[in-house]
Amino acid sequence: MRILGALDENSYSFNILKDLALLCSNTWADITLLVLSDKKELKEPEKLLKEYVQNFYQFAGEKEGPYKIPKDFKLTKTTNGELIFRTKGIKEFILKLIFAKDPSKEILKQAKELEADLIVLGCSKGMDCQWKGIVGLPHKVARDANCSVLIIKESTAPKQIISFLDQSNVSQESLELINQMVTIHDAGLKIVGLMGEKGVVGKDNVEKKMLEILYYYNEKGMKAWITFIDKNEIEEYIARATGEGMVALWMGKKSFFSKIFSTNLLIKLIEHAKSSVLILR
Amino acid sequence: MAKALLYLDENLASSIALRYVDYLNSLLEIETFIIHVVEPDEKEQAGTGWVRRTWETGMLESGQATISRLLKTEKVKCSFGGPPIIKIGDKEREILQELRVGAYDIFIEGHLPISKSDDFFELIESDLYQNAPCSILCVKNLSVSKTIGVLVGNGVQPEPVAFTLDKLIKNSEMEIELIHYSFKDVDTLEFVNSQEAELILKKSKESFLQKGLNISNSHAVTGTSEALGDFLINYAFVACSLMPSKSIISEALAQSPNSVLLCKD
Repeated sequence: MRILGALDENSYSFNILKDLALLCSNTWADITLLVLSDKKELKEPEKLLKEYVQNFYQFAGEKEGPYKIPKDFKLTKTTNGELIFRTKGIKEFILKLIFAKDPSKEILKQAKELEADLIVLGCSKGMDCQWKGIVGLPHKVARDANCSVLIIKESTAPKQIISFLDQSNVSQESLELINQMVTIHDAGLKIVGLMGEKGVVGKDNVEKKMLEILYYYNEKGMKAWITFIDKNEIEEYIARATGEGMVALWMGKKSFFSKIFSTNLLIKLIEHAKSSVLILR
Repeated sequence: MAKALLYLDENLASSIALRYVDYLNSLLEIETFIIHVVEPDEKEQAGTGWVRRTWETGMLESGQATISRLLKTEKVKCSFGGPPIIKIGDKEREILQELRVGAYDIFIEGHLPISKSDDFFELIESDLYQNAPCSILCVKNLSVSKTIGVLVGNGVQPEPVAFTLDKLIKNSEMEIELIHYSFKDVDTLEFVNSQEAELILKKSKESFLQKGLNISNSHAVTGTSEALGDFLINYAFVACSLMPSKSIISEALAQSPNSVLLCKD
């Protein structure tokens, strides 16, 4: 598994380091920290990068963790002025500072090149979710990425992970991500299915998958519940769910959500969420 | 030992109910009997004499196979009071008849938690729920907890709950907490100090003490029914007396993903 952490120099980026590091060390993922900046604005880039690395390393378990990061690391400058640091313990750790005019495009490009499974980024809190000076960056990344995207709002930790399940074609990696969210935040898990005119959407396979997940958490002594919503009430329910905790949404090709979920609704979900949003692909 | 009748079919709700009964068996002394009703189409019910008997045997074998498959899939550890009871006919009527004949203390069935409250209202207003001669445990989820939440106030009577829990949990490690709820349109559930609530909680506590059941904690809370529903998920199940129709409490129970024990005395 490879995770791409997209950061800028603002506090909402700094605040995701704990969750990001815990997620990486728990899943033993290869990690690339991509720091994006406007060249003119960034003062003392080395100092910022060191701060990011030290914080990541602290939460990722230092010596016990899968990343081998020396205390005094040296950054390499590329011909186009980018700063790079790369090291390999059990898992790879890459730190990159890129000066990009269009950061959302750069995040998507890097994710594709790295074949990332997950992009993690932060955003401002409240009834908005932005990167400073760039309109709609988190929304663009969530909408256009080929892989899963976790948007962490500069806010309190979620007490509940609300995971919508409408397809049985769910990868072990995405289930593992949900598992990590539950573990990291010591949260409960609500598995939400869709109910249509002919019963559960996805019928037997989805029901089987829901049971599997429910039993899995139950046997671990974790709090998990299943619940169903009418597929015509999905917008209303999602609006309510964003206030309850982190929303995790599978948007695969076979997903009913990807068919009915317009870009506007996805933007609304990201903006209205009080905690974080996880888009699983 | 409480005598329970568990309705099973080959579906998600029954799988959860079966697992939940297995879990409760590790905490409580319950003798559980399984019932399954094969509901044939009207067109199928033809013939007399040998033809009819052959048809009935086939239906019973089919019902038996359904329950065997479910038991095999779920691999539960608990044992049952006897072989599964397989009936042919109208589900509600057959269950009601078995409940009357078998003198059960509790009827258990699975019900998928759905956000639409109307489904739950239909269920509690059904002939089966209203006319059952015993309390009903409606299993919605697998809640791992040793604490039972009992709702009081708003016209809900504590006596039927005390009567049922006396049979069900006496001599077990399970604890009881009382919850008095009042509606308030706020984002999160609030704990309140209200004299009226305190009085109801005190009176309710006495009903339980008379049965020798201790109350480990009491809460007076206010908020929306959705907020109460989410608060209730921390309990093994939520108990209250069976309501005749829609109410502030039944709305909260409908919204809760947790299992509900509807009590009668």
